[in-house]
Amino acid sequence: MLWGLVLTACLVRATTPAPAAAAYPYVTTSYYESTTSTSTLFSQGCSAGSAGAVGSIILDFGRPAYRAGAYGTMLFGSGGFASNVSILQGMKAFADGYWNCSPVRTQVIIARGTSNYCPEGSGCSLPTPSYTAAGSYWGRRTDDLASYISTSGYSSQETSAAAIDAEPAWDPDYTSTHDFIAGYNSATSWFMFDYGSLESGYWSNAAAYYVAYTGANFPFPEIYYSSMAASWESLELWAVAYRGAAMLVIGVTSEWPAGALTPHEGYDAMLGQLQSHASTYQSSIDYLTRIR
Amino acid sequence: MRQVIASSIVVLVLAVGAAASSSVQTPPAPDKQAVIEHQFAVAPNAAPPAPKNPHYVPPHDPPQPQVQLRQVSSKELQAPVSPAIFTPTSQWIDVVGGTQIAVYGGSHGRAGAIYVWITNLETGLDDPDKGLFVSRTPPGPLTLTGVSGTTVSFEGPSGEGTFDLVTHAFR
Repeated sequence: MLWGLVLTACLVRATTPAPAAAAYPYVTTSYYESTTSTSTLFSQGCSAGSAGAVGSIILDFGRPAYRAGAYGTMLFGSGGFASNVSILQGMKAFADGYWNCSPVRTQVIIARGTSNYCPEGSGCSLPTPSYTAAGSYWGRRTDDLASYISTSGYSSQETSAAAIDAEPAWDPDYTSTHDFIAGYNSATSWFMFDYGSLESGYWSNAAAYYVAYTGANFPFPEIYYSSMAASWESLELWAVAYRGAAMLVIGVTSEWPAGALTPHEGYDAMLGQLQSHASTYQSSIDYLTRIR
Repeated sequence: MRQVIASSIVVLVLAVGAAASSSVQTPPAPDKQAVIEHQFAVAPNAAPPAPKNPHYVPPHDPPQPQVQLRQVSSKELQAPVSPAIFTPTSQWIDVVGGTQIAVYGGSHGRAGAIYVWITNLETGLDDPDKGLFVSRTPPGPLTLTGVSGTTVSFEGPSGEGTFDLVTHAFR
């Protein structure tokens, strides 16, 4: 029911003349994860629930990896390899924590995050033999979390998604990023947020558009500097010219204070760019998160 | 006079029309709309809302560090910060009493910088003392050489230096 209201609001907003930007969306906290410990992830979920977090939360488990027949990721910091199954267990615990600690009317999208990190010469260990398979399994485990949310009685407040910190400089030839996303979209249709960057000199506009907006993908860009918002607007204008319509920017990612812009400043920068051309106009952006 | 007024009205109407059209958000394409609807649709067989138990404590599942600790490394440099902000060259990680301390040497733009990440692995929450610290040495990345106590040693474009994890001072 509540999700229905969200959807209705989304549809209405998308089809009616929009007012100037109103209130900012809630700034959720997203995490670079060092562990898939269920008690740790439960604690993070409970923390979000206790705070009444509303919106999208990205749990970034690091870049894809593969060990002893199991797909997974390399966690940040001391975490090492985490299998997809252990990530799923951690995400279920996050969902449990959010459910038990939240008030009854808040709603979040819990996104299973990864990246396209592994630039040539970076010494990445446990490389993934197939990025298409890695993406497909990522999608299936996203499905599994959705099923868990549904069967656990959390559907009124939670839903499952995926996310990728796609950085052109990390995969200049674009192949592994493309294959991962193709694999994901072949397996499921839950949101896949692109919370990456768009630095120039690496990917074509067509490639960047594919990463941001194919299938279930939506742009949820990092906006740490004003120039980053301008880069996304440039891709928006390319999409209008070559794909017939602008992309729907669904969220903004902040990394303040390491980045120069606060979450609200990043939101303003992105929305200001979108509103600078009639063809890319959005009245607002649904989600805002600060990753740390 | 009437012509002037009529012309003004026409111009005003056109201006209002243009302003109105510029503030209309184009609906998502049907395939994207379908994705949005799928995302927020509750499955028909979804369980009814579960009872909430804010006092529930899950079984303890202690985090297990899986990398070599207290060593400077220049491989697998997946720093918990965007490359748009910080580009790492080296890292050093330790876990003390359930607290993870990760130190990265590298650069912020052209400036040498240290990125410190302190996390309580039990709660998954960061220590506010984390962050990006930019050196005032000549441009160029910093490369860690070791960590002793709270002193981080590095090499940079102007030679060797240190960074204090408590005071955040470069020397």
